[in-house]
Amino acid sequence: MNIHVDTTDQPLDAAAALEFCAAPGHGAVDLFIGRVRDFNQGKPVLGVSYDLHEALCRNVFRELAEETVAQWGSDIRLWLTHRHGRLDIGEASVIAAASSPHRNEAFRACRQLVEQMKHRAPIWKQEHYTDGDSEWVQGHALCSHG
Amino acid sequence: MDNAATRVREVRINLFGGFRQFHDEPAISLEIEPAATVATLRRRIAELFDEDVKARELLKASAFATDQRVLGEDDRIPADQDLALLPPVCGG
Repeated sequence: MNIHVDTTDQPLDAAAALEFCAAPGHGAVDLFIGRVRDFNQGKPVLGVSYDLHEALCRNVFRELAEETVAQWGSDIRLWLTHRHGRLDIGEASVIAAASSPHRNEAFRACRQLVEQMKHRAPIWKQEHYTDGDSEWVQGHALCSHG
Repeated sequence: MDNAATRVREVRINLFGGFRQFHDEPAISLEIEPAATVATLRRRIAELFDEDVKARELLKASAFATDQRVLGEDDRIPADQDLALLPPVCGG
C-alpha cells in the first residue's frame, strides 16, 4: 500500500510521515506541515478548533490520494493526516508528504494533495481570538446548485 | 395504500462547522416522503431557519452528504443512512 490517510485528535507525527514515504528507489520526499498561526485577517488568534466529518473525510482523502497517484505516477508514496479538536498556536493541523524517484513529482504531488484537501475535504475551523470572541472561518463551497 | 414506497420516514441530518452555532442539538431530524430529493430537504431545513437570515445564507452555500459522498440537488435521499450538512470547507 503506497497511500496512508487518516484523521485523529492526537498530535500529528511528521517522523511517521517521513518513514512511510521512504523507499530505496525514492530520491525525493516532500513534507508539508500546516500549523496554527497567531494572527489572521487582522485579529490576534489564541487557537483554532477543527471540526471534521471523519468517515467522509477519510473517503475524500483516499480519493484525493488516488487522483494524485494517477496524475504523478503509481510509484509515488503519499501520506495525509489531519487533526481535529482544539489546537494551540504552533501545533500541526495537517501533515502531507509525498515521495518519488525524482523531486518534481514529489513537490507537485504534495502540493496537489494539500490544495485539493483544502478545497474538498469536509473540515472546518473555528478561530478563537484574544478578545474572547470566536468565529467559524469562511471556506470553499462543496455544492454548485443554483 | 400503506407500503414502503409511500410511507413517510425520518431522516437524521448531522450538523458540522458553522451550522453548530444555529442549532442546540448536533443533528436535525425530519420526516420526509420516500421520493424526497436533496432539494426537497434543503427547502424543509430552510423553513426551520425561517427567522435566521445567517443560517439560511449558510444553508444556501452548504452541501448534503452521506458518509461516502457529496450528494447532488436531484439525488434521492438514501434510505437508512444519516446525512450530513456540510458548510463551505476550510481544512489545513
